[in-house]
Amino acid sequence: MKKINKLALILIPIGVAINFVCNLVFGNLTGHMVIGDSIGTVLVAVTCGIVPGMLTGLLSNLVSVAAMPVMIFYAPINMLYGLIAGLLARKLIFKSFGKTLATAPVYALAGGTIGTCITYTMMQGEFSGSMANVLIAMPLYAMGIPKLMSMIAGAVVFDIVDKICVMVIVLLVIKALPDRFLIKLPGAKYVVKKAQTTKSDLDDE
Amino acid sequence: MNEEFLAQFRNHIIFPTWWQRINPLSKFVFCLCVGIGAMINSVWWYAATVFTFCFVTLISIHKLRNVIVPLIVLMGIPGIITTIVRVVSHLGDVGPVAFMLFGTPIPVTALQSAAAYFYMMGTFLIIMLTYFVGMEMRDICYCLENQLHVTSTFTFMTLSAMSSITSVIATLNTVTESQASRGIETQGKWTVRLKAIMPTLFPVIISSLTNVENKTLAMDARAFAVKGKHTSLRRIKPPVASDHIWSILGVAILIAIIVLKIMG
Repeated sequence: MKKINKLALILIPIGVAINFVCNLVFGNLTGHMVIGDSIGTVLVAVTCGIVPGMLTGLLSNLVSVAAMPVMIFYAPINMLYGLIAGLLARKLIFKSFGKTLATAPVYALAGGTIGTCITYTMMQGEFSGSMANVLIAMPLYAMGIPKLMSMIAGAVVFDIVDKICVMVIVLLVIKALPDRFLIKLPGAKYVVKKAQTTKSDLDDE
Repeated sequence: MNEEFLAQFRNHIIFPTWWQRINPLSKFVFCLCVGIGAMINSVWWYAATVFTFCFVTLISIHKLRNVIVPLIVLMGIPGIITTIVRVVSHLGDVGPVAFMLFGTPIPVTALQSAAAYFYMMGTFLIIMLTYFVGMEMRDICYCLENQLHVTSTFTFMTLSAMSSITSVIATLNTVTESQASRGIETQGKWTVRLKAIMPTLFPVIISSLTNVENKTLAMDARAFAVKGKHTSLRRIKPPVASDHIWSILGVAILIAIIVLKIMG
């Protein structure tokens, strides 16, 4: 495995802590409509690369197991967010606000589909008590749409709202971080604008 | 006194209870297999057996309260909502009716579905929460490193993540109090608290990220990058035959459950 940069090595635990705290804050405030537990994962994936991002996702779920044991089954989703964010960062998506927001459905579709499949398997093909199921999936099911499809639709809709919030926060954090800090990270070239870098370098000199 | 203090680093740690004395990895295999077993075959007798085992274990180590309170929190409101959802989704089922509720027939399948959720989720949660009773993450990491040869970098990240969570929550509390003293409303209706998210969460995230450089310097000063075997302050006794029995028992239970499920 390619050696992880030392700054990235420290950023991974910080990303895990950010995931935990954001989940705590957003979850309590919005009744788990916005979860926010992938802010740290996306942030680390964008600034440090795919592997650190996926590790952040994996560790986030592993350290939550002591408090919420079922989180162990959802670790692949958070890892997937790391992978998607890392890949999109390479396409320079995170340099533009509009493009970043436009990627929210990608995360929602991937996370919503896989997450629902995990829940569906775990619950042995039955509904769970999530808000997505109560507000969207059950009415769709009553209209004759298959159970799994209606559950996926509900999860994706809720995930889009969550991921829009995540993308906005990640982008604002990246903009707020000083360039002299960002350029030390492995993914600096994907987030720092060249003109700004040059200017800050000149300022430093 | 000094000899005693030094001895705790030289010798293997002696845990106070029999449950803690089982090797963490062997115990994890046992608990995970039993928990997954409940997910595969959610029947009352299996749930009752696991609950009895957990209750006896927890009473014997005087930690019943440490598991029951989180279990009630995790199963309380989500459990009630899921039960209602499951009953409602089965209302149209054809078959025998259990009872009438406000003129609506509640089918037996609806109650069976709701009960299956409690057997499944309750059993999985109680066995996993029992696992973590009196267990420290650093002991699990130590075992991962020594028994499964997981890299010290991975265990460092895990333990560092645990300590980072505590420090970030402390920073969040400090920032919230500071912003409140500057006149930003942080308490009250949810709309008020929603407005306060940005001024409180942002400084926390930014300061956590920018402090990383200091931590890197501290790691360098402590020779983190030096190659070679890392030492540990705590030493866990290597697994013995009785520890392996727990793992084998867990796997055997899981296989038996799968076979029972296949055979119907």
